Amino acid sequence: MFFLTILLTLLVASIPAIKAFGLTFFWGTTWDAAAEKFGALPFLLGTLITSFMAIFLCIPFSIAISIFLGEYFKEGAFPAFLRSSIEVLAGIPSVIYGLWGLFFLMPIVRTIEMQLGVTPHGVGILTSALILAIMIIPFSASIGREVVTLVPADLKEAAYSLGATRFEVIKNIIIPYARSGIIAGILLSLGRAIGETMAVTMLIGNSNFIPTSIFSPANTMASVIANEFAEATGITAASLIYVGLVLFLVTTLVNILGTYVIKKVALEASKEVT
Amino acid sequence: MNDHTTVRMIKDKAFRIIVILLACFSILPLLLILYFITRNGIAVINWEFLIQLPRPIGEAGGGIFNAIMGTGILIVLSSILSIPFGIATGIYLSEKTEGKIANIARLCVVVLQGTPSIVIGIVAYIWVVAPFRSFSALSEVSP
Repeated sequence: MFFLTILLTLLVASIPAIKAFGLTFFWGTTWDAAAEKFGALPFLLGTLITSFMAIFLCIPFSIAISIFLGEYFKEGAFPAFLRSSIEVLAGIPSVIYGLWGLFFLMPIVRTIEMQLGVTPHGVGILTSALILAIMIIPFSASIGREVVTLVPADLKEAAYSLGATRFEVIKNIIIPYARSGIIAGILLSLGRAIGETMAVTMLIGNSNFIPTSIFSPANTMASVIANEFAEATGITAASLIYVGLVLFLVTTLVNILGTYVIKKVALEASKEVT
Repeated sequence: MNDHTTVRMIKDKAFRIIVILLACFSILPLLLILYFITRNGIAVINWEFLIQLPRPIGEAGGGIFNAIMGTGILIVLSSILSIPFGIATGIYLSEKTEGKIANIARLCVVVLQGTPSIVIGIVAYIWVVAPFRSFSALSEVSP
């Protein structure tokens, strides 16, 4: 029901923008409040690039943590420490990530940019993607750990009894078995990365143009709403709500898909045990 | 021990080391954030900072009492409003795993959990803030 209410509210409020721009909104490249011309392509691209970069950056780490906690070290002091650190990472408010990114990541990225000879903005797509990757590692890692521990012990033992090394068991038994669960975890963290607002708004650089490289400042769907909504009126507000509607639909789709896959994995695992 | 076995053992060891390294590397941001916050923040926190109001820009001193109060009021209000619904839904969903209403409720929980806070913000703005603003605009004309 909440879904329908939110959907209807956003839909009704964005009617002026939908009437004025329709589907051209999605490939319009100018966002100009003074000329009342609105196209959301820069923000769609910004969201797409930052969240997918973050996902690719986070995959090796989250899979490593899943295997570390789910297979190599299930008990002991250090794994317990790692697990609680990851829970703490998941609980840090995003504005703190943004602040830290501004004071710690931005100078590093700026140095890299100076080394490479591009304009040293410091803020931009790369910085946002890095902070997003750090923010979503806990989510994909905790889901990954759960599905890795769901792998039946008799399957693993059968492989060990054939003389497989631990690496071969992980590569041939655990990863294939847990694959859909790991993918679901990545999908859920993708949903989070797409919707992340505060940290990205602080680090993306707020430029309403199509990004030219991974170092250039940009804007994501969430950050443009956060930046402009408070002062927006009339058609500008309606266009921002239109962006919000798209954002809502995308994150909802990704989340429902991820939850569905996780449920299916858990169901299959419970069937195999009985 | 032939070569084939040795290669497999080496691969096994190498993979183990990579996993341990990557997993340990992931805690680094947490340690850095904690270090950053404590190093920059601990020095300014004292009793005055916590109970005073912010002073105008340029003036030294002042505190964050209003922000603390704001956060506190917000937490209390939102907890009062949300906890009954949350617990009721949780009990219902754990008692009733099948059925139409349970499935819809579960879907709602998933959707709400995944909805970006900025979208919720827009919805709340349309519902709550916008109507009040249109009323108060009249009174703002003659201040």
